[in-house]
Amino acid sequence: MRNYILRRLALMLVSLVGVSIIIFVSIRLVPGDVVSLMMGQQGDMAAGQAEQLRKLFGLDRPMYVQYLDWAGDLMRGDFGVSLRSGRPILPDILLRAPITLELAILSALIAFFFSIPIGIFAAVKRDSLPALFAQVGSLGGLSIPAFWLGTMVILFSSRYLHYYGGGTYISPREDLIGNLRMFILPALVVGFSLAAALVRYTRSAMLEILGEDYIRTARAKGLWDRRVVLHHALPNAMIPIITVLGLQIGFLLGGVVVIESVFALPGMGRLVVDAINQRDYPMVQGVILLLTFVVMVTSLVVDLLYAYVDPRVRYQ
Amino acid sequence: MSNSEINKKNPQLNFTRRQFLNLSAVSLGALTFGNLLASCSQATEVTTEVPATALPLPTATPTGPKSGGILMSAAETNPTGFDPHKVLSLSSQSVCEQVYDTMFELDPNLNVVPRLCKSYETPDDKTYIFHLEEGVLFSDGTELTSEDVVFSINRMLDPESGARAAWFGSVETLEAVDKVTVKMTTSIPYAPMINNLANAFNGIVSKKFTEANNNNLDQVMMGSGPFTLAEYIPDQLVRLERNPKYWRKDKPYLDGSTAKIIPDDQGRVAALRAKEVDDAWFIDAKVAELFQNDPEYVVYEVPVLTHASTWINCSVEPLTDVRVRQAMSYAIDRQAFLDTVAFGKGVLTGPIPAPEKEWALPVSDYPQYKQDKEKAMALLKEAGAEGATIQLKVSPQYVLDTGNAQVLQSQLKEVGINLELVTVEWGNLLDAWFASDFEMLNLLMLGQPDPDGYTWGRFHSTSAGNFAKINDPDLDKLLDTQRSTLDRTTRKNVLADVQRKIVELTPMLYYYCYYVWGIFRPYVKGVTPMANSSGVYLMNEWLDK
Repeated sequence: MRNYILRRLALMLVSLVGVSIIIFVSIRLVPGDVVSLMMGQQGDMAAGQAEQLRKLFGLDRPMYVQYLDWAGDLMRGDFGVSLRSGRPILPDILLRAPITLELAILSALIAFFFSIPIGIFAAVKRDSLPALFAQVGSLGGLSIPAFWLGTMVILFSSRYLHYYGGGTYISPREDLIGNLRMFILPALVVGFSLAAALVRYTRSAMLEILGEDYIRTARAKGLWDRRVVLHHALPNAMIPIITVLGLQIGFLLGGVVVIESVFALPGMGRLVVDAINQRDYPMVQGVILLLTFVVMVTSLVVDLLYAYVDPRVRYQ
Repeated sequence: MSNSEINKKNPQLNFTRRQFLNLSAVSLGALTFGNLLASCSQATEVTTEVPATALPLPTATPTGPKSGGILMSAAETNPTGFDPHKVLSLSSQSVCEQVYDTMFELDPNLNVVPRLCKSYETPDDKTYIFHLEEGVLFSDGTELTSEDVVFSINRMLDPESGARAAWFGSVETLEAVDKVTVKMTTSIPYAPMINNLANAFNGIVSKKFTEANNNNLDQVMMGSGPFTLAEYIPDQLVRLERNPKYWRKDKPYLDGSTAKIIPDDQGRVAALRAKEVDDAWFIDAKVAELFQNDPEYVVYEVPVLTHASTWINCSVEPLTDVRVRQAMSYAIDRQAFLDTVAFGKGVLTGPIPAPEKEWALPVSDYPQYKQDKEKAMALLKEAGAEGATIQLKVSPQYVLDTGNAQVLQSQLKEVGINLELVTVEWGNLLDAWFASDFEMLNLLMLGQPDPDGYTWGRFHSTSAGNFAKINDPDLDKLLDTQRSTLDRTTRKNVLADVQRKIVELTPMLYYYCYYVWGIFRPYVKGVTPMANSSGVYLMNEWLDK
């Protein structure tokens, strides 16, 4: 097990170097550099200043020099300074990371706790009316775009509950209730679409397993239905569910941009989209690299979880 | 709008006889100042509000301004930095103009009025003597003197610290004559100087404070303005606090102003509905409609300086021929652009945006603004450019740009010009624009501190911003003349000729300036919307609750 983890970590390091090069080059290949974007429509007014600014930002140097410079600073834990705001990057990322993390975890929890029972139910009582509702509901969750649902939710809550809550982050250490109030609506919206996928995976995994011979054997022994489902079928159905959940968390960490914008949550998604739109190179590089790292760690954790849910899985 | 309609929208307007008389007195005063209130920023609802600074008369509100309270606003984006001499974004301007004072300021009609500089003389065309207000303190308690003014203007000019060389490049010498007098000489007579000194990007900083911060003002702010920056958390909020040492009596009325950063339109709508913010601004007419008949909100409609336009590259065939460019100008019906793309919510404009009332010629002065397809086709025939195919670059960044492109395409088709739309990403479009790598290009152009920016800056053959590559000696001469004419009335006449000449030469097609909408809770008083999107009169706002 330990060797396996070490091997994975070493691989991770190699991947990170590769990813860092790809990010570094690709963001620079996008037309319109940070200076162009900074001048924007005022370019006619600021026309004389472009070269001076590029020099100031060190963008006139060869690309490999810029990369080595950045990578060297990174080794020392220095993520650099945002070209757009002039603020150091790491503190700005750390300011947003807890917000995205909390949203991802809450949404995943909501999705997990709703989807597993519903998925099991939809499989066990597959011909019943409630199971049909579960099926239709999950189809809805997959098809309804989160930004639309989010917009409807905030319009409803602001109009009838007089609550919006976006804009400023309330730390759970300061005010847990306030913090949860802030996150509950976006987490429900994200959780809903996530749950929709999980319900379908759970249902199909359960249906497959419930048809297996060992389930029939368990039933033949005279075991209760509940015991058969929860102790014999569910653990085996968990493998695809955990895989999906793991992948989704990676997606959540970088992909809830729209929800963050609609609910004005100051998270990583907004940070990275703004940075890309403004070609704030060091910011894009810093955030994407960090997100890559988190996704890699998540997938490692998911892989390790397999060993717990499925005794047949062994890591050498 | 009838009076009863106004009353429905704004419960504040149920006048008593005395209040009505007061208001009439104010309006009359406004008339004598040449500032008919109804025309203040052309803001429909502004007719009900009295900008206290512009008009030194008692306000018509029943109780008069009350001090105290925190104004909660919703802002769309983060400030991009706080160094007043470097930043260019409106989001940064909105903070800088609260924390720093400028030498002059613009009143709601965009006329220059005194601020730190209470008066000035120009003994000759190249010398300015500025007299500063006495007893002005920075928020740290130190006195603002002529040394700080000299230091600030030098800092704007220095490429290491400032980015304002384009505006102040003509400054030759700067001297602090005594504590409250500054003498400036310029290498050429330079008319934009005063307007540039009124621009929010050109705030006066403290020499001592700036030097103590190693000339780096990106993250720290300390000025003599009505507010101080108390807190900034990116993507969350900008919190301003009242500067208790502010030199204008009783100002600002608010104890503070907090802007929550809410990028999404629907998010700002929700925050308004949930009453978590007192005001928010929108470009979308549909959003304004949501609040239009709701007594819990007051809607301000303001035309802005941003103008929808198409750049024409005068150095590529067949656009080198002025007749082809003129043909396009005659071929289009500008009102149709405004009606179909901006739902009629805006005003038609020429080279200087229509809300710049001091300088802009009315569009009725341009014969080319009357659609004449036959003339257009005759001009094309004369130039041998019938059936020409021309490429137009446009970015989906702004829906108005793409909308205008489609209308232009269909209207030019009617005179036989085949306009090929090329949609490119925003950054790509900007690069093409800077490099004049286009035949035609659609872009919403922003306001400038001085008419020089709309004219000399864009079309003088030696200007770095002449992306249309126009080179016309007569135009150059006119442009130089407006730049060196210090007398405002004479300059206005020259600028009228300049605008006619630009429309005649057509290096750009101008369509309209659109409206923006400020949605406010009714207890926010003293609101003064500005066409240049400035919030400089936040110091006059107060809360009636």
